[in-house]
Order: sequence, then C-alpha cells, then structure tokens
Amino acid sequence: MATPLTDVAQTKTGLSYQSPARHGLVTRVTGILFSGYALLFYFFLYAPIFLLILFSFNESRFPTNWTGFSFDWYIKLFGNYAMGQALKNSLIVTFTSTAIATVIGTMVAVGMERFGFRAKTAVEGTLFMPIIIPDIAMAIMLLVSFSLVGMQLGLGSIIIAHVAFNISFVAIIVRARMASINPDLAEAARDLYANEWREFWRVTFPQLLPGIIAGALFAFVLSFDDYVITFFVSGPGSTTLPVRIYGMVRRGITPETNAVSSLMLLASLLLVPLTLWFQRKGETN
Amino acid sequence: MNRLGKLGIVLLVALFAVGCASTSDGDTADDGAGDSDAQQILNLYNWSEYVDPDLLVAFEEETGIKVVEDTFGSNEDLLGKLQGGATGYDVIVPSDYMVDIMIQEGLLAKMDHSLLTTLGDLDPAWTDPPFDPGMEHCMPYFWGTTGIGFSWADWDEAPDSWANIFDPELAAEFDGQISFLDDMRETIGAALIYLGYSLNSVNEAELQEAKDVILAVKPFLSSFDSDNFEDTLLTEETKLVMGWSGDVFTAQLENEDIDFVIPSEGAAKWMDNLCIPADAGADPVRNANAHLFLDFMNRPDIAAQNTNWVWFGSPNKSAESMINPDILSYPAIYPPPEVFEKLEWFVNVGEATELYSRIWTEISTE
Repeated sequence: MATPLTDVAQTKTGLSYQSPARHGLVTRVTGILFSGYALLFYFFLYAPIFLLILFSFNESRFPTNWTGFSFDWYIKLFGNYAMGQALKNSLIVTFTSTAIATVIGTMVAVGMERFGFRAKTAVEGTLFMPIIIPDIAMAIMLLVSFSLVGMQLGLGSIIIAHVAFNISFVAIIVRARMASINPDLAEAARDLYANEWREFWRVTFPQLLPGIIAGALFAFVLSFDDYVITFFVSGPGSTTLPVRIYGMVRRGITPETNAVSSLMLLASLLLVPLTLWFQRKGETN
Repeated sequence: MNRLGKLGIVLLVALFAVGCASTSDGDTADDGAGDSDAQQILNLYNWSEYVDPDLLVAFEEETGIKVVEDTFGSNEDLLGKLQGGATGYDVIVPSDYMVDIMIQEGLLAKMDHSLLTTLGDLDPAWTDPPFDPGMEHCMPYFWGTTGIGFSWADWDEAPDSWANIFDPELAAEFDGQISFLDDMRETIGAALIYLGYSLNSVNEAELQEAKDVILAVKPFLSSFDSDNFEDTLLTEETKLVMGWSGDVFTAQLENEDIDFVIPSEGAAKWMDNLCIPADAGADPVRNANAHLFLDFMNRPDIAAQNTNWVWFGSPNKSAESMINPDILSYPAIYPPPEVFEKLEWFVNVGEATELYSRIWTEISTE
C-alpha cells in the first residue's frame, strides 16, 4: 500500500526521511546553536583577558572600580625594578629551558619511534611521570635533590627543573608528529645512500618541524607560567614573574601586574604572525 | 653508537654548558662570604611590600651590603621552602606561629644579643612573646590585629563587638554581606573570644560551642575569604568582614569610609618577625650581616620611616616620636590600653591541631 510521503516518514528501508524544507530548518537551527555556543566559548575565553587589559588603564588600584583612564601603572611598571628583574629572570629561564628541552625532547621522540631497545618500556614509563605527578610533589622532590647534592639554588636550578618536566611534553608532541609522517621517505633517502645524519636533517626533520615548533611553544608556555615548581627551586635573586605576582597576593595586587600581562600579550601577538610566516615558508619548500 | 647519537650528546653538553654559564650571569645572588673584593649581598625573604625600598638603599649606603629582596605569599610557602632544603636567605620574615614551628624544626639560628645595639628601643610588651621567649631567635618587626572591617557609610558608631558578626540577629541585618577569614585558628578563635573563652582553648566543649556559633551565622556569610576581604569592602560586596588590620588599611587608601575596629571583647594580635635561618647563622659573615640588618631595621628613625610606609604597628617604642601622628592616634593600629590588654597571642595548640582541623572541616562542609 502506498503511503504518502509526509515531512518525516519511514521509507521501506527503515531510514527516516525529511523533506527538504524540514532539513533546511534543522540545519539552520543547528548552525545557530553551534555559532552561539562558539561565541559563548570565545567570550568566556577572552573576556577575562580583555578585562585584564582594560583595567591596566584604570586609575584606581583596585580592579573592582573603574575610576578613570590613566597610563600611570605602565609608568610605574617601568620604574619597578623588582618586577623588571622578575620578568628578566622569567625570560632567561623560559628561553633557555625551552631550547634545551626541545632538543632533548626531539631526540627522545625520534629515538623512541625509530629504535627498539631493551629498556624502551621503562623509558616510556619514566617519560610520562612528570606529566602525571602533581606539581607540588615534583617541586619538593627537585628541591630535596638539589639540596642533597649541595647545588645552590638560583636560575640554574630553575632551568634544570623546567627542562625536567618539559622534555616529556615535547617528546610526546614530537612523537605524535613522528608517527604520522611517512617512513617511506626516510627509507628512500637511505636507499639513495644518504647516511643517518643527512637523512635526518634533509628528510625527517623538515617533516617534523611543525611538531617540534608545537612542542617548543608548549614548553615555552608551561615554563613561563610555572609557579609551584619554580617557587620551590628558586633561590635568592632568582624570582620569576609568576612567583613575584603570587607573592603580591597578600598585600594586594596592583594594576602593574595587569600592565606587565598586557605587554606580554602584545609581545606574543606580535610573535604569532612571525611563527606563521616561518611555517608557511617551510611548507612551500 | 651511531653518529646521530654522538652528535646529539655533544650538542646536549654544549647547550648545558652554555646554559650554566649564562645562568651564573643572570644569578644576582652570590653569598659573598669570604669574597672580600666583591660586593657583599644580603638576601632578604619578605612579604610583598613590607619594607620601604628606600631603607634597603639606605642600608647599602651605610654598610656597603646590597640587599636583594625576594617575596613569598604565605608562611606555609616559606616553611615549605626551608624544610625542603632551600638555603641562601639571610633574613626571613615569618609570623608568630610560624616562628614557633620553625624553632621546633631547628630552622632558625639564635639571635646574638651582644651584636645588637637597639634592643632597648623595643616596647617591653613585645620583648618576651610566647613563641620566642626572650627574643632568642627573632627581632619583632611589625604587629597587627585581627578585627572587623566596615564602612562608615553603614554605621554611626564603630561596630566594636564580635556580636555584630556572630549574633544571628545582628548578622541577619547584613545577610550575604559578611565574610569570615578562611583560616581555622582565626575564625574559630574569634568565636571563642566572643563566647568569653581563650583564643587558644583546647577544650573540646568550648570548641564545639564556637563551631555552633559559626554555623548559626554561616547562612549570612558571603564567603570565607582571607585574600580579598578588603576588596569586597570596596565594592560593597560585603559590609562587614573579619580581617587583618593592615589589609583593611590598604582599602582605606582608596575609600576613606572604610575602617577597622578591634572588638572590645578582645582579639588576636599577631607579630611578624625578622629571623635568621639556620644556614645563614652558621656562616660568620652572613650571620654578621644579618645582625647588622636586624639592628638597622630596629633603629628608631629607621623603624619610624618604615612604619610610615608600611602602615602597621611598630613594636619600637623609641620610634613613636617620629611616627606619623595619624598612625599613632589611630586606634585600629595603636589601640588604647584597655583594648590592648585584651589582645591575645596565637599559641601553637600542638596535638589539639587535629581537633581544630576536624571542627574546621565540619564548619566548612556543613
């Protein structure tokens, strides 16, 4: 018996059918819902940052009242020696530890992906530890280790600590990238008499580069932001920016912290097009 | 080992060497001991904004010792670092109860009174605290009280009784606009004082009573807040806060209506101290420098200048003539004798800490 096709009906194969009009409506509503959700998502993400920047121009010291527009805090920031020192320490630690961790992490990733060796599972396990272990546990362990070997706490100890946890993150990211590239190209290169060194730099490394950059950026952010581990392994004179800001909590945070955060944001905003440009260059090659 | 591995190792070692070399340039702290040609350095580990920076410069000009200041945010952070084995700090600034703990842990060096010339300038009320009898270890630095922060916009007379926040009838007037300290000893202690007991009671029945008092007014609280109570006063999110004197005064800078009162039933007094960590005390040069600093900070003119900058109460009697009269006449910082008598120290309750902890958990979770 023929049944008229209505908006939603069962066809003979049991699939539900929707009229074009109904389908369009559903698509549109879904589209609006998703856009709305995305907008809310971005709002929650960026509204606090926007407020942070906004209140760096606030005349009042307290971020809860807007009393007028002023550059005072930026001026104060430039005269704030302690904050400047903290920022300088942060940048030294972050750049150095990122560089070292990226190199080691990449080597670990390549080694793990390419070679099999007896201790491989054990190494894999240890690699995951810094990620799983709570920061505070790692911080205390590092501090105790440093004092056991009699190492003086300072920027050096912070860098070592940061490298320690960053290697894992870089290794995992690069390894993921490594697993996704085609091993045949490397094979082909070896077939054409390239030795391992040449093969790596000419064939594998360019393919890995996006992953390495991603790993490096991740390590950079983790290192710059780090509070708990840095606090415990820092020594006199080696306060980093997060530690300094956190220490201000008791006596009140001034908009100088807003100002320095806004400047950091500006710096990273300028960095992003730069890295994109580099990546694009790499791709066309 | 293949070439890749070998080259990798060389690279690694090279980078590490570079890293270590560059960090010793970035490291401004040298302990300076035995290094008579290089500038001597004193590492101060202090609360944020708790010393007039001009004074650190003045100290350097007078003694040639440069002061490098780092900051921490809580006593527990300080303790954690020292317990973990951090060395290099020459002067630290723990609070009363933390001094007690640190002495027991052996983390503090003894203060050599023979190296100090300004001890006589201290007010005798502060020279024999229970956590450091006879000032064997630490030099009193600043003191303050816990009390009630409020705004004159809401009151004709200062709300100088704990009843304003512990009596449900009175608290109900400010429903949702009251905050207590998120601190087990402080809040339970305040309730104990309100009930007429000692701040340091270890009597379970009294503690249960205190707990009941707090739970009775808990519905009227907006939060337990130790960090932002002065901010919430400014935004009028709260009208009555249990808080520390110094923090409320910071808010007062923004809004003159905001004030602090020490309740007439009594309150907790606290003291921050300049102390010398054990490792600094063991080194003769660092020890000598630290004592110089302690002595310097306790000089009446220096203490006065510091007080005028920090706006907390100074334990230095001789400094009073040079302290800003606004501070001296302010009962919230320098209370009159009859209120001063009622102030109590926090004393380490030892094994009863577990009892306090349990009661606090019950308060927090109910």
